[in-house]
Amino acid sequence: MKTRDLVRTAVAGTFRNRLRTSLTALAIVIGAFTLALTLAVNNGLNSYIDDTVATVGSEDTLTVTKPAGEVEGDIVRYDPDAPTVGGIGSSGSVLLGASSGQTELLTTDDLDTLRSLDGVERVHTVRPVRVDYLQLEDAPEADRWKLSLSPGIPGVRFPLAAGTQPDLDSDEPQILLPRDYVKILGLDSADDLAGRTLLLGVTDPTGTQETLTATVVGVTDPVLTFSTPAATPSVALAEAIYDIQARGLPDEQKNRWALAAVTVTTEQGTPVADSVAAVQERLDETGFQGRTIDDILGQFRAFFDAILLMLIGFAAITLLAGSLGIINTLLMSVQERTREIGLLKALGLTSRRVFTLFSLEAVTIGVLSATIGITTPVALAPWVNQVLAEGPLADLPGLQLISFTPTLIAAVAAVIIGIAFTAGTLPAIRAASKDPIDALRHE
Amino acid sequence: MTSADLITVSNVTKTYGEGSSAFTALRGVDLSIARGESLAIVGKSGSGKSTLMHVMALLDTPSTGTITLDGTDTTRLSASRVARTRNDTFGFVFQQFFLIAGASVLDNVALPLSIAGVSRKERERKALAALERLDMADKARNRATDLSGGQKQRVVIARALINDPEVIFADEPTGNLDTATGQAVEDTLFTLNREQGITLVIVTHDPDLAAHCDRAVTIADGRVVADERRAA
Repeated sequence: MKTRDLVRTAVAGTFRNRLRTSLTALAIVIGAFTLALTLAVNNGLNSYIDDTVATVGSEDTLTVTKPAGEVEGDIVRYDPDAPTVGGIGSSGSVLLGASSGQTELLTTDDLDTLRSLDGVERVHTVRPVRVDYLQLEDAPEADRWKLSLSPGIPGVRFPLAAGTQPDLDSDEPQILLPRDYVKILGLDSADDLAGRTLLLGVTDPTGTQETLTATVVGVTDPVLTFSTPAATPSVALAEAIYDIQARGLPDEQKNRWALAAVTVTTEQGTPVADSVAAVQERLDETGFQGRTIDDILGQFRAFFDAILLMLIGFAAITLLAGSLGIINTLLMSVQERTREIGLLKALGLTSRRVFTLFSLEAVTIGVLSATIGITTPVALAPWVNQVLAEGPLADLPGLQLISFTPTLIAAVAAVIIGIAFTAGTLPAIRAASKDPIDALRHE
Repeated sequence: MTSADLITVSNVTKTYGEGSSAFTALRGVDLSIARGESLAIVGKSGSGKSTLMHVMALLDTPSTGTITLDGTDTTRLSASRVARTRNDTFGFVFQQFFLIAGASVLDNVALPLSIAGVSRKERERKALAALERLDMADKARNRATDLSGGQKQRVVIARALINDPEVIFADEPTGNLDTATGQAVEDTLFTLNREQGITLVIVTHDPDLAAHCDRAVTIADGRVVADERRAA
């Protein structure tokens, strides 16, 4: 029998009992729907992380910290002999992997070591700074708010609601504020906050509080991170804060940095990732810890991946149940059509072709289910994305939660059809092994 | 045994099952069928006549002994070769018709050609020609299940004819038909035998049908007990 005729016969066979086929397909449709939607959401989240947190040219940058002792996993073993950090707290952000307590501040010697390291092109330093409060220049004293600081790293670009990216090298004291401060400071929109002058309270080692001014250059949109919203000061502002914080301390204690951002020398012909990995290894050997933006984002991705895996698990369970449905339906069909199978074999259809015929019936159910189960979420995605963007996800502009790509659609379709084919194997073997005589005698 | 013999059955036995539940349907059958002959296999139910037809038609394999078709020992053929032989050398007419429900008369008649991999256009042409010979061309687009018994059996004969077979195996071809219709089907079969030289092997317990054949072989308890030729 020609393949085209086999397909036609199989499709006709599948639709002979429409209700049964539809119900069987429905179970697979639900599985296909869940799987397609889960992968599309994962795709949407990952593109969002890439687009917003990412980073132009920052793949050649490593954030370097110094673990305060022997590292096991991500935790540092306590070492009583390790130099303690007096007076100055380290205030990196969780996002940049420099949480206080587990890292040691960097010294002048450390920076020299980093600068001399093979493959390091540039070292950008970040002071351990902390402010007591922020306040709008013309606001009453009651309107003071706490503020976390997160260092600016060359190459990292923030998603902006208003204003511009900070110029890290500017002499002006600039600061980037999270959008959360708009309402708290009694303003209507991010545009109102951009360009305003802030007063920042900083305490020196003797406990005397001083005030610094800084210009809000930009207002950031929230990023999908689990850290508290943090502001990013320009280098000039950070130095000004640090000057107060470390005033009067001996040089040995004063010349300290929270972390350094190391730009890796890239060479023509060598993948950037390889150069970065080489430097990362050298850092490790010299007692530092260097992390790329990808390493850090990896933690967030791991979280989403865990949720994704769970959802895929649900889809898998549905598909398992659905494939049992296919097996059941086709076994019934084989049983009912025993005489027809016998006739086909008596008239010279080979067992192999009978197997193909029933496998194709399973595949037909798979194709039908995949078509409905995938086109439905694809068709609904733009609408759902719009509703979400205007509602629950309004705070995350640019997030297309459900994002389909042709590859994703093809992959899901292939999985569904593959599952259907596999489920059809048992009934198809049953059909192929029927003896024409017994089959023709069958009542 | 002469060179004109199309099918030769040599010392064929057939046993179903094993041990105490074993049932022997054929106990050493020798039989030669000449090309163009019409042969009736008669006997009571359970005599083994259907089993004999099944092994000759290569629907079943003998436990011992050989079936020679046109000089070829069929027990040595591969499964796919046997399937192809059934498809292009034999035609089958069954008592219960075995038409595919829901498919058109035309598609039912064309089924052997479809299995053989003939193009749709060609098999429709041949199927229509076969139906015309049986005066059934006007029913080509009907559903096979909507026909009367006699019409169904003519469709089945058209299906058996479509491959220009050398042999038509008919298992109680008139068993489910009334006398007049049965007579018409019988006439059709013998006309094919006479005019196209198609060998007929008919399993029946109808003595009238057997009497119309060139030769009648009687089976009892799995053995040939009589082999009578009709006087020419």
